[in-house]
Amino acid sequence: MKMKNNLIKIAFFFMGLATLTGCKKIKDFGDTNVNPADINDPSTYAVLTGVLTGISGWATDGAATVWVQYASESQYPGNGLYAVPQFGMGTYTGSLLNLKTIIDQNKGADEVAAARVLTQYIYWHLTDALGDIPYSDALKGAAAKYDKQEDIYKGMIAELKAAKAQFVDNGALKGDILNGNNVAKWKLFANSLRAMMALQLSKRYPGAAEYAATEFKAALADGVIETNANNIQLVFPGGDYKNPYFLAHETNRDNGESVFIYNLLNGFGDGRQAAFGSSNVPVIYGVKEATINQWIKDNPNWSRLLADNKRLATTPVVMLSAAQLYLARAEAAVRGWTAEDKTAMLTAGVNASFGQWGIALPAAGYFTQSGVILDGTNDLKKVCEQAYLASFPNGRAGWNIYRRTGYPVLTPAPDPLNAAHTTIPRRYTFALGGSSEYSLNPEGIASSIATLSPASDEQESKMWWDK
Amino acid sequence: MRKIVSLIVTAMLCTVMVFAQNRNISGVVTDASGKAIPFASITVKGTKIGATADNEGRFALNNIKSGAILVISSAGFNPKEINTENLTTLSIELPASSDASLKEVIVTTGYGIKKSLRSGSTNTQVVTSEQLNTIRNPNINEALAGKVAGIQLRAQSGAKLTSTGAIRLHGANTLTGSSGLLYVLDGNRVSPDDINTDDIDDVSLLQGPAAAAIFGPDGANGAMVITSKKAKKGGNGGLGIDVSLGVRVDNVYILPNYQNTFAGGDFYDMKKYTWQTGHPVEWKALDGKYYPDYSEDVSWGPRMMGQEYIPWYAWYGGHSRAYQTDKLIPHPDNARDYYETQIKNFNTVTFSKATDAMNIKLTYSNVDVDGLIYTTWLKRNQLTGNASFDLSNRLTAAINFNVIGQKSSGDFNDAYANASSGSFNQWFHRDLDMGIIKELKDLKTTRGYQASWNHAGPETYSNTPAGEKAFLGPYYWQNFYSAYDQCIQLNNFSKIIGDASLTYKITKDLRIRGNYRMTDINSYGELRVKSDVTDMTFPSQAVFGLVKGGYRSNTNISHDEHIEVVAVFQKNIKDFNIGVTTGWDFHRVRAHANSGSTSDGFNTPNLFTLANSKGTIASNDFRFLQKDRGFFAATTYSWRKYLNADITVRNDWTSTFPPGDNNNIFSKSFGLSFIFSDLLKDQMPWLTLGKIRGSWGEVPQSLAAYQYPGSLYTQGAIQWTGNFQQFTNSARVDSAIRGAVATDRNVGIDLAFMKNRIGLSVTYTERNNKNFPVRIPISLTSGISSLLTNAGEINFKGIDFTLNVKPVRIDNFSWEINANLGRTLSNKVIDVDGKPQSDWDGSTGNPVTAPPFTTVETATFGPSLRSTEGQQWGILWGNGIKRDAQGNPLLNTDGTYVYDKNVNFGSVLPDFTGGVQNTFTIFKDFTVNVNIDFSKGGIFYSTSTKWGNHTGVLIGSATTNDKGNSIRDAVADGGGIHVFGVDAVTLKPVDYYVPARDYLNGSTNTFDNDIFDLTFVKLREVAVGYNIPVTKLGNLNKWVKRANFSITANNLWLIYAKQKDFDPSEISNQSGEGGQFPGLRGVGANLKISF
Repeated sequence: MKMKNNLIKIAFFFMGLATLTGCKKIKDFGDTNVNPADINDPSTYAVLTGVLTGISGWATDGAATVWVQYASESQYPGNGLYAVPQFGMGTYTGSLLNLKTIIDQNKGADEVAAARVLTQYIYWHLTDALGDIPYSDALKGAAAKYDKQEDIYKGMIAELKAAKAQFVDNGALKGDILNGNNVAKWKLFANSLRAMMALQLSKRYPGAAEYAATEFKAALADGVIETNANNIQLVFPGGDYKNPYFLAHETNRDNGESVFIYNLLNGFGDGRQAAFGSSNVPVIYGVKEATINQWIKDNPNWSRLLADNKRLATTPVVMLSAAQLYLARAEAAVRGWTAEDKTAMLTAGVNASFGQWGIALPAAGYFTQSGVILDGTNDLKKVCEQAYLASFPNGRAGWNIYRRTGYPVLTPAPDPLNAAHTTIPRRYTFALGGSSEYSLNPEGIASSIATLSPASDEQESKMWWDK
Repeated sequence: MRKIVSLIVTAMLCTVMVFAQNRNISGVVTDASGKAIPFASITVKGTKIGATADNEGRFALNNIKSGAILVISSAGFNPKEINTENLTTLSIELPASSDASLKEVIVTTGYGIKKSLRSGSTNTQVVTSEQLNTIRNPNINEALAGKVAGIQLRAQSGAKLTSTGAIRLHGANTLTGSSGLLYVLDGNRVSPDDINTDDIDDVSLLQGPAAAAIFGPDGANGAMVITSKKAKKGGNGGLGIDVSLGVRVDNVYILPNYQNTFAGGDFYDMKKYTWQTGHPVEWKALDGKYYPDYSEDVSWGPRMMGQEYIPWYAWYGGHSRAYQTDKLIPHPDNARDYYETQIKNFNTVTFSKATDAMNIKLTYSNVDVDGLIYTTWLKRNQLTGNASFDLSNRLTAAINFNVIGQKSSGDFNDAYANASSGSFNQWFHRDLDMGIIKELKDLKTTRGYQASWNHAGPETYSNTPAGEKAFLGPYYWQNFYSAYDQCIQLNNFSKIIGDASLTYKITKDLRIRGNYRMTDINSYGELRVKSDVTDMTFPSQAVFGLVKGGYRSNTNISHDEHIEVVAVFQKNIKDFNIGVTTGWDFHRVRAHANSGSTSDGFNTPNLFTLANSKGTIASNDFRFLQKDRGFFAATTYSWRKYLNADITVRNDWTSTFPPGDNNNIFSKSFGLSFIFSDLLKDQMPWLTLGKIRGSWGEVPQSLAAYQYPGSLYTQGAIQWTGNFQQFTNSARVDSAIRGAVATDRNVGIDLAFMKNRIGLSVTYTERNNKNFPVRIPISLTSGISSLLTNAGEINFKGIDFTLNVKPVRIDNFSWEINANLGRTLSNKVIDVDGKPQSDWDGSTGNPVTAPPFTTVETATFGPSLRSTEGQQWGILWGNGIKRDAQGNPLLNTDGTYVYDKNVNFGSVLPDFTGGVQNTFTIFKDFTVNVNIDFSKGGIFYSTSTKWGNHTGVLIGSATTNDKGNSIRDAVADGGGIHVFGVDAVTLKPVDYYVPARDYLNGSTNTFDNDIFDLTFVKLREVAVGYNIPVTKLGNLNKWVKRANFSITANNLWLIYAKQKDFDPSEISNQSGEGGQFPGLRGVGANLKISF
């Protein structure tokens, strides 16, 4: 009898086991695997803020700043000695993907339009760094095909027009730490970008009736930045977000004011030197590590990049300024694209630049000196030198002027690292490595390299608009 | 799947139905110390009726006539006859036979299963308490070094007090290296940290999934199953008190070979100091004297010849050596002098009592270490216990608990440029007197800047705060003592690990046990960086990024629980013995981690609290919840004891897999053994054991919680003036993601001769690990950076040998040798990412296109560790010397090497590892243990030699060339390093003298000279023990049962190493070392007393 009871108990145990395993519930864990910290519905205005916190990085490109001799490397020379500059595709999965989220989520017209403007701003810098890049086919879930730079430029200009038209200014724009939710400023930004992009095509479309001049004039007609108050700049709040030049100086002291720009300013008796450097001992350029290290030891008072009071934690980084636009208009006038008064444009540009840096405006004599006055001799050079000074320390802006016009006339580094790379780079090279396009999108990258001149992925090769 | 489980359950059910008899006699068989003798044989004299005791020595017999005589026997014990009379319960103690070595060795697997090693089919090794605790190493991993075949202990310097080292079992089993062995202590899953080695009875190492499938996904990489000591019957009314006292003193043993000819700084000629207006008047005393370069943290300075110079500290006021010159002389032991003597005290006391119906044991242990590195210490208290009560003759309640509290202080980071060894070996001034550095550790300038040996030259001085800081503030490095004083890292944890169980004996053959197991971990850590760190000239060199003072706090709690219900059935049916353990294991783990750190320095100096942060507090919190439900059945079938089969199946469902019908994990193993010697007893009486065995197992693994589906968007913690930020995640997860799958199969032979005088085991293993969750990169232009999916495959083939010999066994002397060797035949990477020709790059953690890397530029800092398809795992790839077909270096016309970005330097895995343990017993009471372990093959990269030669700190930068001149002399003066090779263009043999600095700095780009062989032979443990003859000590023997005193030594002698600057058995990371702490040598004394 007792045995029987035991048997029943055992049978129950195993039946219980069998029931449990057979039960659907055993494999159902409900929401156990849902991470409570995950977000499924993004706040697009917060995504916009996220993109904008890093947006000024394009205006503070350290390599370009050194190439155009705004800065000299004071400790670990590399860029200034023409080490191979590589450029990866991280922007696609970073800012561009975030902007695509804002556009796809479509939660407000102004927000979407702003995201479209920023997308073009970024593509502009990407294509100017590399040449042909993925544009129309990008961010679609598979390795993208590469677009021709000509198509990218035309696409960007068209898209900026469309984006500008999309703004409704209904007060719904939020999270805009760049323009303070000011839609009018976004429109100026979009138009000004079009003007600068069009001007960049001057080698391909030199004529006054060609695509570039036409688009330049159309942008002007829509209204561009004309006052420093409308400069597109990222104002750093300090604290957790400090000005990048401040941070770089605090930790590394890697960059000093280059002797080239110092001499250029000095030649003009230009008051902006008080803002551009910290002393009157500019740093020698393009020499090898041992030489610069010794020089720095011998010259403890070397001029840092930017004066101490222009390199505060809260100093804004200017991405696009009234001065740059005026000087672009002066260049367009010199080129005969527009009928604007080239001297008036140049004067307005220079004054805007001095104003931007808080330096007392130059005396009239500044504009009549032979290196500045637009008297029909070397007018393009003079305009470009002023544009170069007005763009300081935005290396990409200076580099675009240099590549477009050949001005200012720069002497390459005396001690290049490699005998194969002795001139100022015309582009970045595609990044190497396991996660690079070389590994993961070889057909795409090959199509891009084929359009370079010469057709090899070198920093000296020229892209479409540079040919 | 459901079908399979149901089928198994039905099968078990049928097996269970077979019994149906009454019970008369039950009992338990123990040895003289009260320890159970599992699987003892019980027969009724003169009949064929009998039984086999279970793994706890318990047995039961039915229908036994009263007055029958039972014969109880077990290998290694003298048999005993018992007249049962009218007794129904028996407690039988078997005396040990003269051949104690024949005693059954018991393997413990999961869920309380104990098996005889003799009949086992899997690749399993057992280490006893005595073998493990030769020198009472408090760290289980290190205690096992050289004692188990097939493991490679990757130990760390003894200075890293919180490190337990890592065990690599049979090579690499993932693309990234070797992943974890499961540690199980009395059925509870633990970390090696939780184990008090004094408290271990034995360790069963289940090598791979075939042996550990019962643990399911957690057992995929094998398991180390540890059984702690239990109370044993005997003596003083069953009460036992054991006290074990130990002390160990460690000192630096292995340091790199430094040069002692040239002083610090960047220039050979010292500069003359000229006092000028504005300089402190006290410096007038130094006017006209010479000073070296203090600022560069290299030793390319003047020859140390006793000449007068201005030492670094002469410029600071406020101490007895201020404003005085000294003689520039070598301090060859300056690095050694920095390291302190490490003293470790570890004491254990155990109280135990056992009766027929209960046993209870309580152990308290305490570890206290004063560390080798300044400011480091560790304190640990541990209370462990177990108890078992028979509540009735059917019901037994038992508990185990393990409560640990540990506190430690210290920055145990020994990576590149760390604040002690990182400086001494890589960036240092060889002329420094460490005694003076210690003496002046609190010295500051008048304006409060920390004084350092590494400061700028007087030309940078001006009488302003900035000028004073520029000259006298620390340049790259602080004083080695104040650096540690200013950065205090504290770590604390407490753990409660334990389980409670009830076992109900339904019949004599069937028991059911329910267990609740729990692990609660509570840990917190603090990092305190004092505000003084502000004063660095190059704050990028300051520790932890908290340059202006900082505080970091982190708290982790986790609660892990298992609910197990297990049925155990054991039955003899004629010649068959069937053992079944089946049940379920429901697991749940919940964890929560919070951390916060200040940013931008403090408001109030040195107030260590988050609220004192100048900037926004950076915080992080992390939670997770995971549930697993497992069902298992482990069965053993044995025929006449010599033919044995093991079948284990287990199915788990886990919350971490994508939901759906297939979120299960099915683990299985099968094994067979045949003891052929049982059939040859008459023909070959000298063959004590001859067994062949084979096993196969496949265990898929689980995923981490939330790995699937991953997050689509993330939110940044820090706002920009009131605006918060979100980001789109570009890393995606495959919707069919699973865990990796481990499979192994092995065959082995176990032989023992002449009553175990000689024992030999050989096992051949093939293991396959595949379908790892791998992040496959996608062109970023797609908007997806990578997809986590299943790919990759690694194979391992190897042979393990173990040998046990007792060459001498005479009256007053015996010698026993245990030796083992694990030989890796191959450990090949078959696939990385599912695509042809790929390679997994350890520096990026990504699969990349395979070599030849036409487009891949490897890191210039050190070689990267790669998993390359078709090659051994763990290849070091990087910039090396380009060579011609004959292997000659190609040289440029200046004598420098032409380099090749893609040199395969070989695998970091050793070819074989092993050890030899010798035990000598002399006059019965003296025991001497001599344990040697060794490793052959494999390579490592030394960042220390790379930079230490570059900076002129190590001997390689100050040798003499073949002309007999210092290599530092100018080439024109007969100096320089003589380099041989072939011209890069003509390929004709050439040789050059290259200036030493050019050679050593240029060689920064090639790694050939800094890659070394890992081969070593080490005398790791020596112990001399003496059993104090308590019986002869008069009245004392009333109280003291046993006493033993031993003197031990660890890391006594690095007998052989190809590279003697670093302990090759303690290489700090998989690819090499980055500035690792020195090897230590320790001497200890232990006293064990049993009352």
